[in-house]
This record gives sequence, C-alpha cells and structure tokens, in this order.
Amino acid sequence: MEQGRTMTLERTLALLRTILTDVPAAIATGAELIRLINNAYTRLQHSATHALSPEEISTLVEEIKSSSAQIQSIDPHT
Amino acid sequence: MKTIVNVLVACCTLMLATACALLSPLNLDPGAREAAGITLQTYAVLQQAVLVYGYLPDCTTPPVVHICRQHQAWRRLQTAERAATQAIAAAAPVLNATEIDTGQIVAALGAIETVREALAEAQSSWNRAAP
Repeated sequence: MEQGRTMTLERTLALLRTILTDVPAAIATGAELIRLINNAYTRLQHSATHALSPEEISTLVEEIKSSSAQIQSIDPHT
Repeated sequence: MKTIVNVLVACCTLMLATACALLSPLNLDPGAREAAGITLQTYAVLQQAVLVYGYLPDCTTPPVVHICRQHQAWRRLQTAERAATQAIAAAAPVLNATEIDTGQIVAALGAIETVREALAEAQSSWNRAAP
C-alpha cells in the first residue's frame, strides 16, 4: 500500500511538472497563479516525504479558516 | 484570465482527486493522517481558486465581460466552502491524535469533495456561456 501510494503521488507530481511546463501563457500573465501552484507543489512534495506534525496541521487549519473568512466575506448578502 | 483560472482549477482538481484517492483505501489507519494532511494542503490551494472565482465580476445580460461569476454557482460555492471548513476544523483534533475519530475525517473529505464539485460546475458553466 505504501509503495502504491508513493508511486501515485510521484505520478501526480510528474504530471504537475508537465502542466507547469505547458502553460507559458499563464506564466506570462499570471504570476500569482504560478506562485500558488508552486506553493502547492512544494507543499505536496513536503507532504510526500514528511508526515505533517500536529503543529503543521494546526497551522494549516488556521490558514484554511483564514481563507474561508475571506471567501465568506465576498458579497455576503447577495 | 480564463486560461489562468482554468489551469488553476484543473491543477487543484487533479491534486484533490489524487489526494482523495490516496486516502480512501487507507480507512483510518496511521497512514490516513499523513494522507489527510495532503488533502488539507490541496484544499488550501482549492480555496485560492474559489477566491479567484469570487472576485470575478457578476454575470450580466447581455454579457459585458468574457468571464464572470454566476450568482447561483457562487452561492453554492460559498455554502459548500463554509461547510467544508467547519468539517475540517472538527477533524483537526483527530488529525492531531488528540481525539478519537467518530467519522470526522470522512465527513471532512465528503465536504471537500462537495466544494470541488461546486467549483468544477462553476467552471464548466462559464465555459459553456462565455463566447
């Protein structure tokens, strides 16, 4: 199971590399997009090789709550 | 802009689908916590795609912009996102091994999947409507 999971994750990361290589238009027009994807890529790479510590999980949940607050604040009464 | 959002959503969907696929056969053994961490990482990115969609201008008739935010789709996304974040917050103590799992992780995964579906639906609707 562990080996199968690692292989799947490796394939995913390889596919992400391909996507990043194949989107020159987005790279030219979306620095923010690339920052987000790179950030996700780095995070996934980290997760692939390290189990998240309780502190990291807590930090991540706080980030999610913060982003959620931003999402819910957009046109809250529409 | 449309390409950017499409690529972002596609990447998030890809990563989330993989993370969920990784987690589902693991049930709740110790490896599940690690896989759930991957899912949370991916959900944090998915939220950025939701934010991008949320900041788009509203769709109008006749359309004045090529890419816009549909009211119904946005409301569904907001509702699903709020539920997912609440489910994740409830699952956090289980992930940190300070509480026994009574279904929180599965509930969080289901809620995250609902957000992914809502975002994919929003994306497909604008792809159909946009010139």
